Amino acid sequence: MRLFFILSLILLNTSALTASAQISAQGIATPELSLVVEPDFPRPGESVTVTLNDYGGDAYGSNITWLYNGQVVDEADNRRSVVLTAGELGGETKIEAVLNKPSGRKDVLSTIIKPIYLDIIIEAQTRVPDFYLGRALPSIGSMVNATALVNDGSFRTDLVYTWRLDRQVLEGGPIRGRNQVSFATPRGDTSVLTVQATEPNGNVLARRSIFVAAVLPTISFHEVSTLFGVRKTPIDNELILVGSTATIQAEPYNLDIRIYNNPDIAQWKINNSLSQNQGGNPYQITFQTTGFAGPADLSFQVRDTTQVLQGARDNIQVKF
Amino acid sequence: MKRSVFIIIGVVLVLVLVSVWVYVLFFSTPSNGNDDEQFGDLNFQDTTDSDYQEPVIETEPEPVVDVQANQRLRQLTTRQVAGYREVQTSTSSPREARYMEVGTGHIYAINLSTGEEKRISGTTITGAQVAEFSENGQYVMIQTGFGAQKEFVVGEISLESSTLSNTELAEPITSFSSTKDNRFLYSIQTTASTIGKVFDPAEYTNETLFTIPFREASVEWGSDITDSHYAYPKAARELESFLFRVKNGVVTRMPIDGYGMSAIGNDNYILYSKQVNNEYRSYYYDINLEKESIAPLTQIPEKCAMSEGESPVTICANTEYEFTSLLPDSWYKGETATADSLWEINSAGTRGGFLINPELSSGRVLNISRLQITAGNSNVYFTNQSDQTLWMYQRITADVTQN
Repeated sequence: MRLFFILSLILLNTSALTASAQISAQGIATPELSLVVEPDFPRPGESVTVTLNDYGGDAYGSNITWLYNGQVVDEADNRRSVVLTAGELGGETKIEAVLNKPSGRKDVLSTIIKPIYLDIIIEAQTRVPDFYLGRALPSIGSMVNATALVNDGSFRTDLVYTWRLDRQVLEGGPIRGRNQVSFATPRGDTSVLTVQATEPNGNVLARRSIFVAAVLPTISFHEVSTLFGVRKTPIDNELILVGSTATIQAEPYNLDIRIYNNPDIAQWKINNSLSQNQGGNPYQITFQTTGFAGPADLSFQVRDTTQVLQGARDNIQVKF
Repeated sequence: MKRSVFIIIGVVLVLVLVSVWVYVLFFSTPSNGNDDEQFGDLNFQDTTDSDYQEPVIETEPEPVVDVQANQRLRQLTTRQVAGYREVQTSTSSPREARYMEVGTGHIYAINLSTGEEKRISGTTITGAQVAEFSENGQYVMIQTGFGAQKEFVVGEISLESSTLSNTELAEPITSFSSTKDNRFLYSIQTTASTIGKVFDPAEYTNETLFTIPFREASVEWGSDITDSHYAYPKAARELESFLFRVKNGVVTRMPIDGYGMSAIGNDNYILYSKQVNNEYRSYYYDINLEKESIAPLTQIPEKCAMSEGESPVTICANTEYEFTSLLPDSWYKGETATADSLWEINSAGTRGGFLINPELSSGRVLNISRLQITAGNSNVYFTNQSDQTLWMYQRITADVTQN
């Protein structure tokens, strides 16, 4: 029995030492001599900087020769870094740094660059006019759909995606095949969205981070004709009224679709008096000059009472 | 003088005046034969005969477009135009510009030889906003309304009567264009993708061409099904876009991307612009050589048209913008002051040539959009975005004295 305890203690002690050695080799220690590629997952044809990191001073006095797919890069002789162009989509480029040390020893460091497209498409669930040619932008509190498209020669659908918004991992962790994610736009001017695509065996294929800017919603005013519909060109600060009536439509830009469809506040004011316009469309007002004289200030406000930044207010002058 | 003498003279004068009045009343005749000048029109009807028909006075149709004037740039309409196309219905008939009026959906044809305009469809399409004519001008695809009220129909123009027979397309269409063989290419939105389709108005059949894995897509259609079509997430200066080429159903990621990126292209070249360091810049990409070069003009691609064929050209409407850091969003919103001139860029995108300044030649400041180049690159059509009127620039003319 005593012998069994002694053997068990020896065995436990040995396994603990082995574990600490593994952590030291894989996680904590940094190789003293290595090549670092920036960006780490370049796109095809993108400029790539390859840098020789020498934390231990091993390369001291060495003659450095850079090779690009086996061809010597003449202009990069004895430089610590070299700027190269990533190859074609689906191709591989081998970069080597040959260190000829004063002692006569020769060290070769190499890395493989495999260009890949990892595109992140941002589709904000905010509202822009139907005739607007551009894309809606995120505003604080609005939902955003992000789609990652990975293409290393063919569009990949078998990957595992890890999404991160600032420091928060989305969807609770890596998810297989889910190249789309939805999130609410955080407070602040910009946030950083990161996605990492890995193959099912754990090999990291690509990683990319982008800034997602949040804008404030705005309003533009447009004339509405019964015959021709909404005029696409906005009213530029003032409207000169021809006749005694005009229909004006307020077109919010980048307002959360949920707020647009169900606004807590949607108010028209004429010369600071609340309009009694009771039409079916809260974004439209029919303006009549009856009882008025001179120019009038026409303003519109749309707002959510819980998310106060989800709203906009603007005004125009109506001259008659 | 005695009082009695005054009375006698007065009585004589009264008698003379009465005599003159009586003579004029009974014996005088008008000095000319125009009764209307002598007698007031009391607006009585000329006849009570119910079978009477007003004689029809045949008059020559008045040309609405002055084709005699020595001008290469002409305003073709004062009406707002939803869509247009230059067509030739038969080899013996003159070329005409067909267009649909915004709001009413009425279709008009302008004879380009005589300048005469006639209405070829009086069928009202309420709220017509965007229209695309087929190559032969027989069919037209129409968008009515915007947003939730948006609907789509395909109409066939009757040759016998000035009417339009319509077929509704019940799909969430986001863009459409016509092909050389009189079909319509269009895209629809699903919950997570954009699907490209083709509709044959003669057979009432449709077919799926491609699927793109995002919703908010701008699609630049080629002029035939087999041509290259380009798709990208709609441009915004704060967001990155990526260009995808669709050829024969295969979607390929092009090496073109950037913030505020938008593009047009054909089988050989792509013109694109994007924001670089707070500055809007334009580039040409040669697909065959896989080579990029800086375009001769800083150009919003949506204000250009690229022709195809043996000697393709790109025609662009260009303004020298003072600040470009807000493009293209500011132009999309209609907030950018624009005074366009027409320019021509050669096929390789290496040279830009000035064509005309509408402000100098017509006195009008134009915000040019929706350009079309006709077959043979002879005419360039466009609309003025400010009032949606239709204009034409005669690019090739036999008369060298024209300006």
